[in-house]
Amino acid sequence: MGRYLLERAVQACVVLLVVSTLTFLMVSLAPGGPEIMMTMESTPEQREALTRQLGLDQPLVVRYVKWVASALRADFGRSFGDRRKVNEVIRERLPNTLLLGGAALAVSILVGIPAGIISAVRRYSASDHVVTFFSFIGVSIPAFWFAILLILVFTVHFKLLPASGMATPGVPFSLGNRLLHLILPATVLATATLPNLVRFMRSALIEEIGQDYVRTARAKGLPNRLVLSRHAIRNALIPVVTVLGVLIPRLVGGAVITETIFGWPGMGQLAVASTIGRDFPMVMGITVVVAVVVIVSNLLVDLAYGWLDPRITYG
Amino acid sequence: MRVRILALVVGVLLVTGSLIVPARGAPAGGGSIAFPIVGDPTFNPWHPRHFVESIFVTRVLFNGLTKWGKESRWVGDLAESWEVSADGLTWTFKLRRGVKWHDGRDFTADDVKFTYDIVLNPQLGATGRAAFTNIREVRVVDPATVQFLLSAPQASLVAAVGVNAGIIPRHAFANVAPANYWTHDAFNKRTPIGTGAYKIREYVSGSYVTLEKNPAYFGGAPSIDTITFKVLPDVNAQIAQFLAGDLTIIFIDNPALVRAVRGRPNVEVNTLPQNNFYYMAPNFRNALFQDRRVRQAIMHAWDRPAMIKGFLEGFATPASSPLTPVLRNFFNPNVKTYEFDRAKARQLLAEAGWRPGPDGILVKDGQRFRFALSYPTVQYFEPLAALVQQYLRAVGIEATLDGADFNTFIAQKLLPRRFDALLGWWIMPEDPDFFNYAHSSAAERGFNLPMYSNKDADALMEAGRKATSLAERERIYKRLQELMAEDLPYLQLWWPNEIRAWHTRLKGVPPIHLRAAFQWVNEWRLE
Repeated sequence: MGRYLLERAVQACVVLLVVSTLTFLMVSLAPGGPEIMMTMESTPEQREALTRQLGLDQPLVVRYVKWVASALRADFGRSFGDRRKVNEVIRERLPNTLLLGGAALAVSILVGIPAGIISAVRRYSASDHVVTFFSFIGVSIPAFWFAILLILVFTVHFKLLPASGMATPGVPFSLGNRLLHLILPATVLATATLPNLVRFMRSALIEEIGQDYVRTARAKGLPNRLVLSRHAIRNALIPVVTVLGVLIPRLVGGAVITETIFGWPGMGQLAVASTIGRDFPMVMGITVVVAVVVIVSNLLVDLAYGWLDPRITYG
Repeated sequence: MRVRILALVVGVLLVTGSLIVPARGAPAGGGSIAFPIVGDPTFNPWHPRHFVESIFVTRVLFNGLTKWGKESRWVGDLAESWEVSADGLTWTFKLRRGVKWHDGRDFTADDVKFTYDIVLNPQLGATGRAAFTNIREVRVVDPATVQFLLSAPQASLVAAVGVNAGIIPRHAFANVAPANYWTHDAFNKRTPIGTGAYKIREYVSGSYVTLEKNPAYFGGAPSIDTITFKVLPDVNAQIAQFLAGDLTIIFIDNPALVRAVRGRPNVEVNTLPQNNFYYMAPNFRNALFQDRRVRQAIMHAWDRPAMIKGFLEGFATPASSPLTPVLRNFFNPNVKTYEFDRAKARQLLAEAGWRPGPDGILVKDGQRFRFALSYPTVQYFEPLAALVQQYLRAVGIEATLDGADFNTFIAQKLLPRRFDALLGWWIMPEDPDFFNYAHSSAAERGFNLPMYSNKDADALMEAGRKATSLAERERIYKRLQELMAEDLPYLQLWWPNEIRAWHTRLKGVPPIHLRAAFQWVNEWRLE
């Protein structure tokens, strides 16, 4: 196990190096330049001064080496936009995204997995049809449309829920206020992940229920509840965990549309604005953070396999 | 599952809602208003990142030397009065006395000099610098008097010092080296100190900024207690929040959205002309556009009223020249105009030697009339370009579409001047000084995108900067409009209106464009 983790750590370093190099090349070679230089109203002298300030007058290789050197000290430099420290901005934004993503994920798991199980166990029953119908709608519904619809219904019409931000301006922090602000965006975000979980859970469980070992368990007189909970569901969770492994990084990268519509100050909003503004240090910082999350969540998924299925060993 | 989520929503609401939702409705007098901004603001008005998301906040926090008045002319702000020497090279501003910074310190001429030294420092690349390239030096005469020494006369300086040109306090940068001005987060991103009607109360990055009234404001104590600027990049969300009452006042950038707010109870939608000009800039270095008759033909080839109806729901006026009626006395209504008339367009093109080829596209000396129309893929430019393409095709001109995202457009088309023709717009200070946009000296490195060069126009634009009397300037710029309408340095599209909406309980917003109206925010009140 220790050796396995060491191997994975080495792999992770290689992945990070490749990802950061490629991203650095891509953002640097993208057409255009930092937003602060690309306005219709700036003069050539202004652009030249800013080029020097941002260090863009240096060759690409020099810039990359400098970036790696400071990134190794966990310093991602300053934004090309408002010139704040990238670390500081990410530290501000990441928890917001984790809160929103975490809430959406929790809703997805708490609702999606039971719904998938019910729908698989009572296949072709009325409850299965209801679940399948709603998960089909959930997959098909565009997030931006659903978000606007929710705002119209719950904010404009019923005036029940706040439509944007993380808190009411000027009101001291309270958990209730935060939760109220979380409801709409988390609902929209969960709509993207929940139906996937339901469908994976349902199909995986249906497949397991048809297996020989389930018939054996039933034949030896085990109650159906135990057959499901002890055997079938556990095995059916493997593909579901794989899906979760893919979903988690997506939630950390930020839900661009959801964050934009609901004015949620998270990583997605930041990533889009930085990319459009060619804010290279910010894009690089976000890329590395998201890459680390991908690597870690993949590792956790792999470890979860071993826990779910003891036949899987590492080494 | 949807049902369960909704049930959860309702459940949580029943339990906590009544306790937490803040009471709506404001107390008599005072109260608070909210306005959307499209991104995280930067509080230093000279910071290179100070763009449209920041200007509304900084116009309330800071004051310039002048500002655009309620009667649509420039009036003093931090400056009480000013005079210009006979040669137009020395401007003397008398400053208002007794003005205090938000932290209680005195505002003096040193702060003005400090601010303009930042602008004049070529190493810093301060935003808005383009308007001040003629200033040689700013000199403190006494604590209440500053002098601007110019290298060439510039009558429009009175406007330049009033547009996003907030004076910032020297003492807030006391221990900061100039090279670190833009990374001085304490001022630029956290605690700005201004002289304005409101001062900073709370800033949550990416979320909102709340300002509270400055009872000691020299322009008169504000009535409304707080202004919250909410970061809301999405226009649909802005409209929804406005309808829900969470925003008090909004801009409507996309005229198609007017229908969403118009006719709602207690909502006022109004519109007024602004000093913006939309155009197609032909490249004068391209032989296709050098014949004036060709440019005039294009002006006849498109149906601008129809486009205004289609794209702008009628909220614009076909432009008769780049200078808009907002300029009042400077505006010349009696210039050559171009109505939609394809026969006339074809005739002008024929006079210029262009004959229809076998496929209907015009040909001259074996060359087809074909050019690339470049445009940024923002606002409505994509469909606009396609429509222009159709209008031109109908008179035998083939335009190929060449759109790019805004950043790429600037870097690859606009800066290197690598285009045949482009669609764009100018938002100009309220002054007829069009020097930067059309003088031949601004062709390669300035804003003269068409690279227009005309001796008569050059002479007029120079004379307009030198003129010291208002009557003389009026005469010069009226003549310039005649010339531009005839010679067409820019193919004129329209002057768009500003559309804004607010809840009717908000009173006292002066009838000038909103960026300027925010500088009179101390007179706004809630009923």
